[in-house]
Amino acid sequence: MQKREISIDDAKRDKLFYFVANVVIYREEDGRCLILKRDEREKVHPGRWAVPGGKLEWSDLPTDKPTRINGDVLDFEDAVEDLLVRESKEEANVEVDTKLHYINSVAFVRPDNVPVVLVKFAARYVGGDVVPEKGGFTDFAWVNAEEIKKYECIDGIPEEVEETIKHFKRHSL
Amino acid sequence: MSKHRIGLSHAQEDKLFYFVTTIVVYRESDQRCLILKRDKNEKVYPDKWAFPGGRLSWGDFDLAKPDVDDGGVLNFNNPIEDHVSEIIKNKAGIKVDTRVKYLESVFFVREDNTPSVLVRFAVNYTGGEVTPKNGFTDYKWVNENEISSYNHISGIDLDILKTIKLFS
Repeated sequence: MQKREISIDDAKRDKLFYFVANVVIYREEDGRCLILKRDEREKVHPGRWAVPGGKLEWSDLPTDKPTRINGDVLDFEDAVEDLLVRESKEEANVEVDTKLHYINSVAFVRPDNVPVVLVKFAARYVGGDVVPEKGGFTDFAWVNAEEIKKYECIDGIPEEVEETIKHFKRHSL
Repeated sequence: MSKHRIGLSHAQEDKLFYFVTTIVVYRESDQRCLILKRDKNEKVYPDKWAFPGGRLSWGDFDLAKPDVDDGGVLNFNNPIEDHVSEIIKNKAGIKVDTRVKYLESVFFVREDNTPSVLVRFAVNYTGGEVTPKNGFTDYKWVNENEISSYNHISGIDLDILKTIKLFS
């Protein structure tokens, strides 16, 4: 299998975006979700409560090991699942289930003009003691839809926690 | 009037992707899903049966009218839901529910080396007569067994099965 270099030299510029995924992690045993407090030194939303997530990078794709070849197209399946499993481990030291539930999405244009697509998912907690990532987060909490109101969160997080709890209560194990 | 613009001069190249959505439309009345036949002149997958899909573009966002301007960060809510409705209208001429369900995601690298993130959603059909257009020449409503008699892009049979399970 020929390794293929990734490049945007031939791409249409006006269709390129950063791609970010976030995950609200739900704990079945007490019906609560995990939130993390961002470091005060963060440039964006310092000190506010958030959920794990991250930006996709080319280096996340092992171009010599596609999971499927579809004609001339190299496929890497479970892309978002892999990203969220990795970020949950890095940012909170927890394992999450790979069965994702879509919550909502937002597109935004950063102050440096770069356009971003952010997709928000919910997933079940599988295990691991929470350890907030040093340098990125300083605290954590497991909260329900009422308790989260006491935390100063990034916009939208309380509603997403509420939606996550509703979804998993409807589909309890 | 907006001082805002979209540009890549400050972007880190190795984090840029096309964002692609493909959609499985589910018809509740007979528990079948919509497949469309790609034009024989298409560069990628000519003549194969596929799902409708599309690529997000900067032009989809009117910078003068963001939903929220959060201290210089312009926010546009529900871009995926809007994109899904637009794609379905453009390629199949029908209407679908605004609530979408996640099916799966794939990173792929096209022949021209451009990296893409594909997220596939399932959505309920709500009305209209299917009119294949803009790259598609035919359509069928199929279930997980019927799909096997069509020359389709690999993997979509599994998505049909997944969608039918998700909605039934």
